[in-house]
Amino acid sequence: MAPDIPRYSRHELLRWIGPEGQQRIRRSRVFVAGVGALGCLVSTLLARAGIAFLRIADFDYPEIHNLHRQILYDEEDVGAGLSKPEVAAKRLRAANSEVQIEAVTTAVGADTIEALTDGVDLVVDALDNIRSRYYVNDAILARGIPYVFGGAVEAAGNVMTIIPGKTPCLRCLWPDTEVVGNHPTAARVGVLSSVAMAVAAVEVTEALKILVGREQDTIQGLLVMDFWRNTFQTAAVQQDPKCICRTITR
Amino acid sequence: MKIEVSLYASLASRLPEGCKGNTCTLIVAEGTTIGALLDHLAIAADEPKIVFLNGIHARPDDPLKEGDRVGVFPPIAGG
Repeated sequence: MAPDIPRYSRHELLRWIGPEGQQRIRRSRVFVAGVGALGCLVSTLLARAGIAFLRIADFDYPEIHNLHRQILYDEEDVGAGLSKPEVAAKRLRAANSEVQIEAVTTAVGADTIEALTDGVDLVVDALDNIRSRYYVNDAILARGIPYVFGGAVEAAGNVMTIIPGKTPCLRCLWPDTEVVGNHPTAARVGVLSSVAMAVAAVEVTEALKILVGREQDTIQGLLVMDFWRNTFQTAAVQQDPKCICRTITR
Repeated sequence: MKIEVSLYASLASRLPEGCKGNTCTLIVAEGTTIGALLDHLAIAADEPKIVFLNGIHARPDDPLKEGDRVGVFPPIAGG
């Protein structure tokens, strides 16, 4: 029996999406880089939104200290021998069997980034270090694929949407390789679970804007959020004249 | 000369007393550099941070001029 109310009706009712936007979402192919705290929620919401194809990649396996914020993994997954992408794919298929899920157990690096970004319309970042993000950044610039960057640590988060050829890139934001090896990590200073979820939610919102063809509505600059001090600001970021994005953008 | 300084997230508390929110107009001497400004704000040279001058990444020896806008962020890269 057909459902009385269509599956995606609550998105189709939105003035910015509508039935046409939902059709665009239904044809979309997305790579989510990393399936930790950010990646769990990003991939969940994108799968439930009904994208056509979702590629998820991570080299890690669920551990007990992940469970407070990595919502696709349960106690039974710890030590069970399945990687994060394998477990996540199982849960995401259960959430929406209409979505083709490709789970890749690998690190995002120089030797994998070409294959991981192949054939997608959008990359959403859920990585936990800057070095891996450079690989994503350089690949999306070369391929002309939009990229939503997000990061969370302690009680702070940031999000920046990168449209090759139109906006600053991640290297405009982080050109200093010294910072690459010297940034606070969740393993060292902690991360509030709700902050990671909030950052992921903003990333999904940016992703959906792009997927429905409303790039003009994305965040202009770097959104910096401090959830403990209750500050939410967008900082202006310009394309750096010396940045590689001035030369390698397709 | 007057410049505008914005400190974000955990760095916002380094703004001088009397500033509201995360942005403040400061008066600095001619020839002041980004590095000297950060010293004045008690942001240590070895503290992880990203510094922008008028929206573009800046270096410690970059000089400031009247009306410049400086933004300093902690690197937020966890996932």
